[in-house]
Amino acid sequence: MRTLIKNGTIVTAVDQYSGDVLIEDEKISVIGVRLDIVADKVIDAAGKYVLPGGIDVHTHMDMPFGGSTSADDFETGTRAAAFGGTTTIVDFAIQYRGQTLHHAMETWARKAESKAVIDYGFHMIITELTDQVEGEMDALVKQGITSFKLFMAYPGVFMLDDASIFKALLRTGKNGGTICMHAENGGVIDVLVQRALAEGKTAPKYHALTRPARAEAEATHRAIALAEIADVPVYIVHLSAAEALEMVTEARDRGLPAHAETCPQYLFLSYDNYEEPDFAGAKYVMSPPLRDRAKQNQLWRGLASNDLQVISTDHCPFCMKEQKELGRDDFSKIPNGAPGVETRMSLVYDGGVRPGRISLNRFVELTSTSPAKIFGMFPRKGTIAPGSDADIVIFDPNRTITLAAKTLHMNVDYNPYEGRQVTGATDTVLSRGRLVIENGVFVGRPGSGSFLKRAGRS
Amino acid sequence: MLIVRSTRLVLPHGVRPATLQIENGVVQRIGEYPGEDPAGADVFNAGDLVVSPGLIDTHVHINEPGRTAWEGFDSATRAAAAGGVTTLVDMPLNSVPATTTAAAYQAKIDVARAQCHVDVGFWGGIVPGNVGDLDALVDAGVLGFKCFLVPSGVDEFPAVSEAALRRAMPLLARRAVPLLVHAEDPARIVNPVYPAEGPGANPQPYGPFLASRPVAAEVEAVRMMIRLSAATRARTHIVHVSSAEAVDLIEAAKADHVPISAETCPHYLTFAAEEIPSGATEFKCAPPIRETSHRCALWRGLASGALDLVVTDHSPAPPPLKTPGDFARAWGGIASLELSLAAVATGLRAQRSTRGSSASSLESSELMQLAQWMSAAPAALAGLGARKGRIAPGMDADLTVWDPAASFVVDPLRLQQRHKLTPYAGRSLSGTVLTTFVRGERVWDRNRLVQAYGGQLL
Repeated sequence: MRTLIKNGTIVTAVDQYSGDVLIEDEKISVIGVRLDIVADKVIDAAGKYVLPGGIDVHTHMDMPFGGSTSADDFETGTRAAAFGGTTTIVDFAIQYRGQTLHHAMETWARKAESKAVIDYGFHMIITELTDQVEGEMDALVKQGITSFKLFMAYPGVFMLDDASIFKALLRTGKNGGTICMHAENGGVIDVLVQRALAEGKTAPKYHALTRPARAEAEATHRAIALAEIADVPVYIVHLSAAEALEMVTEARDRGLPAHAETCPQYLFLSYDNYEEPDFAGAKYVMSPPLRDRAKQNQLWRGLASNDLQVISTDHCPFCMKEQKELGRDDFSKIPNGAPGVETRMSLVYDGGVRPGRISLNRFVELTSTSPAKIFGMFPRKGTIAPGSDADIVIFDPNRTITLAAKTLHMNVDYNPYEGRQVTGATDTVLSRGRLVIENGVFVGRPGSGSFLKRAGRS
Repeated sequence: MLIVRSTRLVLPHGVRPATLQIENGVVQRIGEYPGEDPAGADVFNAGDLVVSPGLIDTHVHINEPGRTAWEGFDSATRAAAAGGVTTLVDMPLNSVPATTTAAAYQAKIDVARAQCHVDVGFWGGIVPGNVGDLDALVDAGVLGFKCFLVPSGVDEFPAVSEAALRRAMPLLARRAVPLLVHAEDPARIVNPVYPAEGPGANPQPYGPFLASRPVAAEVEAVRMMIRLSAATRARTHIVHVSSAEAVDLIEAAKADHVPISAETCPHYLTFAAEEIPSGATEFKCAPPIRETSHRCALWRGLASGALDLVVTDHSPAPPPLKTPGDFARAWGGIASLELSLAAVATGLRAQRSTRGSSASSLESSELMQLAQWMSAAPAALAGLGARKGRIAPGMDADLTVWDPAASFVVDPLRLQQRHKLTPYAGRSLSGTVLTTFVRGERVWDRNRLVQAYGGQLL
């Protein structure tokens, strides 16, 4: 099967040129100025960008949390991802206490295997680190699960103590894995939450007011310090606070391999959203919380200067009805998370590239190339080059769409950006050479996405 | 049609096995390795040799017309081809007339045409009193401007004052061309004191010359240029950075979004003041080669991005002008056009040995760094990035085929430059250029020029 994408503007992290792309079966085989080659299918991309498919390294499909389960499963979630120009997700499998990593891996593999419409990998969340689990980490790296997420928040549920975190970091120095850190000081936050509830402060906004930026900065600093002592890289997930970014910047200025991602919600939404009337603030209850609008510019500067290397989504949708509602009388019972897997590329293009905050190449780097490199998928994923997987997005930089829960494809009854107009939209998506979205219509097939074995650090 | 294939092709996104298809001097297609050979194609199998984007050297003194006895377009571009340099940009001084008026530029291109073996562009010069000529020089085709803050060594190219730059730089900003600055502050330069007789009288030691052009002179001048660049927003490029302190200043200015860039040269990355023998005037240049600690800081600056590129400041002179033994009277300048790739590759490997790796060839990441510092970044400086500096569809097929592991001992008599005096004499370097392609034409192959006078003026 040969597919030829003609007349587009091919954009990678380092290139931009007019040209054609030839796909043979699942791979890109030739890029060129003008390819006069007979193909089974020809896609005209005139006036459009031809981008490496988006890679979202932070999603939670079909995830149990706080007595509920995230509203997208691997079918609806990956389909929505594809609609939004994302061709690979890395989701989180969870080891619950008393269970093996192997059990968690099997559980999540079953959730995904017959459903995913695009390729997927897994990070492994470790909530209990025994000697046996440490051994299992090595085995997982060999099986292509090469990153592990640890929590410095949620005491009693997910949180690991510093000794366990340090042991896990040390282990990755030997097995080539990478530690991803949820960096918030959970102990401090729990005290603040209990105090707020005791004072009768139950509204959604107190979710944010009990999770101060300094608690994120402290944990970020600690995570980097522990990684420095262990002499390994560390990756801070969903960095939201400018104060935390300062910690990353300081470390990177010293030459440390500290990496961090942020998410569109921290760039386009802010604390003000928690002040929306009635219970609407619950839409934005996620951890870390939305921060001050005035400080968003620092995140943009971090993205431009490479102190932040990745934009992911932390996609973790819960419906208002029956899910977010669980916390109507107690903000601490609102399931944490919001939808975003479908809206990332358009939001970042519209709000980042169009106003000149980041270049078009940097957009590709942040949403595809850099996550591919950090998480062991490059050069198979993350660029348009001969030999790479044909994960390609035809992106129309001039089409304007209105974000709305009704017209988006995520399985959730609201959208945090409801009514927002964005210019720059995904037309057509190929995953390993197969059409998944064609001119805005889903033409993919559940189960056609494959588990992606990722490489560890060499 | 030309086919070039290699298992180590240095593409913008990585070093990969790939096959290039070249027509009319332009890369038309990049396909998988090995691929097929179209009927009638000229095929160049590089095997495991590295194919890098041709080197771009934006700092070359060709000295013609007027001082053709020093170098000249024929010999300089021959040396370039031998060293894998496919484009060079000539400095406005040491030729007579200096390139400070449109008429002088015309005189230069008249003699250059039909003499060049690789592509050549030109910088104009800013000297006292020629602000009125700058627009016409840009219109005529210069790629940007060079100026001196200290006496240049030739009377016809005097230094400019801060006041003159304040007038010129807004014009450059408007025309979107860069200003290249020799940054030493004349007020900080002192007369070297050599013993009149006894030890140190002849040959003279290096120390007094080094002390006469202190770090402080470079620091003060760089500070001034950062100030001017920030105020005028003119793109400013500091040539031949030699000191750790200058690297730090430039790094900080970049963090403040000052539109500044900087280069260093192979000799600052290779030699150190402590190792320069008395009387060895072949090492004399300005700013001077400094102590080992500065050399290390320059390598760190390249790695961090504080320094953008490496070019030669190829500045030859007849051996009698280099007055052996006499630093006080010797012409300052080092000619290394033909050795730059080998010198920088050798130095890069030596840097690595301090990190514990000992492989004899270069790693992919190092090949990528070389391509960035010596091809992509200088192309961008000269505004040639849309045509040159990377291997991508639609770009000029300027290619350097070389073996990073093949070492050789520098034999001055085998150099192509007009005068053979070189501080590299007898030095063992790793990185042998075998074949050089300029716009798809094989210009240099196995130690000889195989196609003469095909160079274009840019």
